[in-house]
Amino acid sequence: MLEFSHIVYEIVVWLFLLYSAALFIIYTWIGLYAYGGVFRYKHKNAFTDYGIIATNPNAPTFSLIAPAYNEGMTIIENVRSLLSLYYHNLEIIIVNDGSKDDSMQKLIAAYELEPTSFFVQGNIETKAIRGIYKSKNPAFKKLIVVDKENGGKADALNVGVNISAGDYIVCIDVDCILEQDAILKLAKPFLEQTDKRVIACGGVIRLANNCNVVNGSVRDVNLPKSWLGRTQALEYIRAFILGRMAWSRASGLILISGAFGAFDRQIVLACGGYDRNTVGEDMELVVRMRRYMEEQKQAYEVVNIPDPLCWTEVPESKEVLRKQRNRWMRGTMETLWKHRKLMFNPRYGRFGMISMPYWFFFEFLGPIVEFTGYIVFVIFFILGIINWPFFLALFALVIASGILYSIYAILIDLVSHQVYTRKRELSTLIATAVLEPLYFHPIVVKAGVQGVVDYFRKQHGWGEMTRQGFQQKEVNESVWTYIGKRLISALRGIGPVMLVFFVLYMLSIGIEWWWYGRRFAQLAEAGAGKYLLVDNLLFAFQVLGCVGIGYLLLQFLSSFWARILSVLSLSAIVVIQFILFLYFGESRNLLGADMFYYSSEEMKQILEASGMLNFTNIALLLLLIVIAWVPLWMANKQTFKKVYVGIACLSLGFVSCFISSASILGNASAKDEFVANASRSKWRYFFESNLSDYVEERPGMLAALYQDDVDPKVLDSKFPFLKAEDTKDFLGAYLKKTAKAPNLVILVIEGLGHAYSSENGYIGNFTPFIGTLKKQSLYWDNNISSSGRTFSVLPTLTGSLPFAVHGFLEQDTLPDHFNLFNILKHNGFNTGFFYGGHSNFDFMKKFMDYNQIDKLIDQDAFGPPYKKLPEKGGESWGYEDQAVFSKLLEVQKVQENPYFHVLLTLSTHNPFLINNTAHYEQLFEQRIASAELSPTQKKWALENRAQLVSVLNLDDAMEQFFKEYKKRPDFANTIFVITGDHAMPEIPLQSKIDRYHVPLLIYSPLLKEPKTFHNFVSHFDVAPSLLAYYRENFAIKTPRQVTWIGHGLDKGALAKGEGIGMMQSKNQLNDFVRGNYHLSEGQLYRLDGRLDEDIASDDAKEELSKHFELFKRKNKLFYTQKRLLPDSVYANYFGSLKKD
Amino acid sequence: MSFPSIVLHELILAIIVVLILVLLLIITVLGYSFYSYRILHNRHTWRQIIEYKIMETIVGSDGNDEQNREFSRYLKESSFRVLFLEILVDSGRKFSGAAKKAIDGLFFDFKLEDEAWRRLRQRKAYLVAGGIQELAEMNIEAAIPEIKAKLKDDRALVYQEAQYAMVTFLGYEGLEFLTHFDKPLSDWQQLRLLSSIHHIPELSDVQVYTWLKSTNDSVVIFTLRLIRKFRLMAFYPAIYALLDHVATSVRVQAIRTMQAIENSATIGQFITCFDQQPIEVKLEILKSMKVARSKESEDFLKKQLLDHPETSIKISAAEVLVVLGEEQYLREISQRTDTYDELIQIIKHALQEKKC
Repeated sequence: MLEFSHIVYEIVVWLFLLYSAALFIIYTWIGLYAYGGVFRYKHKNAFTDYGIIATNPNAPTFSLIAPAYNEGMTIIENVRSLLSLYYHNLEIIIVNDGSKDDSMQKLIAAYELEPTSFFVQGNIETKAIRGIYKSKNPAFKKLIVVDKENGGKADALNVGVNISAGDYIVCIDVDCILEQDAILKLAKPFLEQTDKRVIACGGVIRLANNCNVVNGSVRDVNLPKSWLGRTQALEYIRAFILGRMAWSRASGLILISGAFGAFDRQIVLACGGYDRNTVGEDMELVVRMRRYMEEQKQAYEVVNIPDPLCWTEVPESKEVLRKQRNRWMRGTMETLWKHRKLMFNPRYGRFGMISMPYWFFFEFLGPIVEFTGYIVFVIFFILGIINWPFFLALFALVIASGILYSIYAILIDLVSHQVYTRKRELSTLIATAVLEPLYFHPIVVKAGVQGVVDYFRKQHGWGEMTRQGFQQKEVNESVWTYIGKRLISALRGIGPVMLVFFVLYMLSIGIEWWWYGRRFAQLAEAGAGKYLLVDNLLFAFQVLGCVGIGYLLLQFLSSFWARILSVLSLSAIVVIQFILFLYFGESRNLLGADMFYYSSEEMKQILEASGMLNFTNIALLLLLIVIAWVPLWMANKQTFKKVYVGIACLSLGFVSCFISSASILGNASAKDEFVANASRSKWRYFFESNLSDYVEERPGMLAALYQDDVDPKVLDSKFPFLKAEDTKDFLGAYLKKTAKAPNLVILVIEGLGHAYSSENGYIGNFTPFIGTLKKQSLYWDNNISSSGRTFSVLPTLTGSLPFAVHGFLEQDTLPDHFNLFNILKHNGFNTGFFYGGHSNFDFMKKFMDYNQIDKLIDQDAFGPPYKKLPEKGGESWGYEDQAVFSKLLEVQKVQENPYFHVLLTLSTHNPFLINNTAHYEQLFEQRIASAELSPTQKKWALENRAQLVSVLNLDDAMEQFFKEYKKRPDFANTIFVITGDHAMPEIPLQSKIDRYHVPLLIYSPLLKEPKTFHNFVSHFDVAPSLLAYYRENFAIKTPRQVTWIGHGLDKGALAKGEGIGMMQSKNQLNDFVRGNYHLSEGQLYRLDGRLDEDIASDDAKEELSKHFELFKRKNKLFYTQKRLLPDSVYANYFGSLKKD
Repeated sequence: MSFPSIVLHELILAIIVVLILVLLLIITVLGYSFYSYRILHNRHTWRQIIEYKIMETIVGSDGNDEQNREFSRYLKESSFRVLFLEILVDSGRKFSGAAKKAIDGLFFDFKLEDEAWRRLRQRKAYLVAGGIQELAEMNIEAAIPEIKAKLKDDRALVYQEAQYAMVTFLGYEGLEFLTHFDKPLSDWQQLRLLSSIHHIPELSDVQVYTWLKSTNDSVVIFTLRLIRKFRLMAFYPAIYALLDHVATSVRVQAIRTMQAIENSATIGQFITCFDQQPIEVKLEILKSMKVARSKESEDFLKKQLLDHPETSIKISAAEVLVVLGEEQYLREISQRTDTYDELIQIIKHALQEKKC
């Protein structure tokens, strides 16, 4: 549940972050692009002489349409203002929209009107016209007054369009005050059109509130008196000077204000005029005109010019403002809904792909997202999960960005010589910009959200929608009916696909079980099949639920893509299921997110070396893809008549989310890890592994959600692993004193598990030489490695280092730290690393480069007569162990200086191919025939023959190595550490701890006596003890402060310390050992004296979980900071050493 | 859940970095705003000084020495000189005769020519265009070769201004560029150029014929407008030939031009070609007939009124008949019982009948 909360938290925070980032980027673009647009226009028109068209008979004709409703108080003055406009070819059409006041009477009297016969040519459907009036007085010959029945603004405008005779129409609100040269300036873009037809043009609208208006003309410009008015003045500057100019320049403008805009009459008529059923008729018309032009495939432009041409009164009461914004929001929604087909439709070019999505995501969703943000903030606040520094930083950024945008708009307004040019106005506008986010913005957001609510509550418009023009084929239906119909259709459509997927997936499970049956007899005995079936059944239902819901949602955007994606994802799930179970069958390991931590090179090498990348397998994979794809694709073409199958699948998916296979059948053998893993749904594991990995990778964001039951004082330090070096010299007592520091050689054996390298292991001893060596060494039979793979063995063994996220070596840059290589090198040792494969694998080379070792011997350093391991699929892992051992003897000459080398073998790696197989097969047979093995051990051994044959080869190679080494004079003064990096996952593990149970030997001719230790130790303890030995006996300088996780071989994992974590793979820090308890994937085990384990009662679980959590927190603190120790500690150590 | 610990991870750091940047930008924008305000304020004051100076020059009253010295001091500032130049160019267009001469004198008195040359040689299109305008306004003929070179500039702002300047300098001869001009000439540019041509030389026929045959439709349209403006009767046959032009806009302009230079055959030619033309051309023909007021078109118009399927044609035909004095005929038709309602409405519309 906590993980689910993490994901929800993460998704919410990231969605807001991404939205904010997108908004930030878009507004930055708008700001910069608008700047260019405004100044280009200003420069271009600096010396424009508009007089050339004012009285020119060749200039186009404009019809100015002003609808009026109950404007009797001001209409005479307003019309007089319009009649004085400076343009010759102009007709002025006043449409009285059934006013209830005396508007008509006043007009008739004032302008000497008389009813005239008039044939209306336009064919847009409108309410009835009562009469058309013209003036007897030639002075008013431009004036036409239409008296019509009330039908709303859009209807009145349509009447005007029908009557108009001009090339272009200019639609205005009758109460607007136009600049004298407004038509001249609007006409210019139309006259300048060449290859692109200008279909609409708008100008800047300014606020007339508090301005001094004389005879229908603005004489003295002032800012409104109220803050509400001033904020709108600022808002208009931002909208017209920045927003519309940027979109105009980018050919993406879809809104020309209803208060003032000019349109190409021919296109308006072709589109059917204004939509009478929307409250956002201005935006809707532009969208429809653009849509028409796109569908006609004609080049066109919608232009905005930055000249202030029109003055309007804005509401200065909150109530009226709310109503206005509510209406704007509903208008936006109606337009977006009506033209939803355009959204992300490449057929409509940047109009469909950019403009419409911009309006949807930022103009429509903006207030909703902001409102949701407030709600989420309150919820997070109540839950106490707000990351305050993050919140405050982001909040400050959002507010500051808003202020910057506003101030920038004011600046552009100022320098482009707009209207507010006085110092007082500048200061007031800047103050308004600072106050706006706190005062004005909440009102607008609330009104916008209320608009959304009203839109749905009132079913606005869609119930009785009648359409005109080229879009009349749109279906008239309510949004709920539409949603219902789409859902039903989707449920019918997805049914066959879901059924086919279910069959294919369950078929794959059958094949999986059959495949295991051929290879692992013990699974049938353990009854793993039923667990496998139930777990996969539940997983299949969950997939159906998730993909089904995804499909239902996506099909609202695009049915086609929803179908494609559902078929793609379901067939991919089937194919990947095969890959996952085959991988498990081959490696006996579950595949999780760790696969993503191998580079493509490494992955290629793994696949090639394991022989998977061959023609047959690739052909089989392609065949599998076809088999999975074809039935699903065919099913995708089918539809059920009823929705029942769809609903049933979704319901099962929903229900299955609350059921676990354990709740039905109980756990599969929790003790036997192999059986437990084989019984699991491989897909579920893969999915969950990736999910938890995703969560794990984002430590900062999730910091707020982690349980704080760990003592915060422990994490007070910035360097949680830093401590004083107090490791005791444990080894000194067992080794003879010498004058010269002995050489150190660490032999790390790939996959050398305890189970098959000890007579006490459940498979028995298949390393006779190592067995002999144990008896001459200090030997720890209860030693554990730090990981289930090779990736962590070097940093753990040589540096007792923490894991970071995916292993210490996976970090982009290795942080400063101490380890055997750099400490011994600085004490005069020669250092080296010997490996038969590519040293880049698992970033080992990076580690060696960091340590500046003297000899890096990997695959490239070998050549004849050294032999490579046999190839599989044309690729070999590298050189055999015999070669690597011999290479060390060849490269390392006898010398005065001491040396420290690490040698890593690889013959015992999957696919276990070795040279001279027959010889080791024979040795294997002899081993099986010997009386040393019990019948059970023999049975195990025969089942894992190839692996054990390779182990015998390794053992033999090591024997030869020691035989040769003994001949050298430096042998006598050398200490050998021999251990495995982890147990082979390919050999079934009997318990969880078996994966890490590896032998540890310290052998040297300097040993006083051999001894076997039974205390629990780990690879973390090796480096501290070795360095303590060198420090105490050979005056070697070691750091005073270190970051060892281990406490030395004397204390081991039983130490009073924090315990040790183990990583099963690069993305799974799931195991933890402290004292004699082992916590693995939430299950507690008690370890006995032989490192066997059994499920323990939960008494100690809380304590262990707390320590494990602390370990993880410390590790996280380290990888978040990317520093392990202070620079001074590192620098002082190496500095002081140099001085010495 | 307990209070989370404060973790200053990379994301917060990134946000803080952006925040600092935004705050710095706010300060910069604020600073620049007040700086711009000062500039604007200065410009306002300067504008008053310059306008006063121009007014003084036009009315011929020389200012006192103190004022002249102050004006010369201002002129040392380059932004003042640029503004002075702008206002002079603007004023130069508003005046003519002695006042214009007085303004032209100011250009030379204050050596503003250098400023205009400098602008002409800038890289930014608007500066170059400004330089061209100023040099043309000052009538600096030495600039003609350089401005002529700008006719080939790729930037519309530059080549359009160069075209206009060439016409300003040379009149009709400045139109020479049309012969090889392959870009569309906007209506706005055509109107500008036309307004600057006041005379056509007698030996212009060859060039005009070439332009009429241009593959650039906008050049053909411009030429038709030119012919219309100067009523160049000799080109009538060539214009008549354009009634078959592929572009409707050319045909419309051809009809308009034919009407402007009409002869006795024009109406007959209109009637002959009428049926082959698209609706826009037909309407233009009817408009031309309205202007021509020729009785010769009467029968043709009556036929169109009664038989043409397009309402707009019927309306136009009816309106021309009204102009030809056929109101009585129209009234008779409208009163006939077999006349359909739409036709009655059209006739009433044409007659502009008052409703009672």
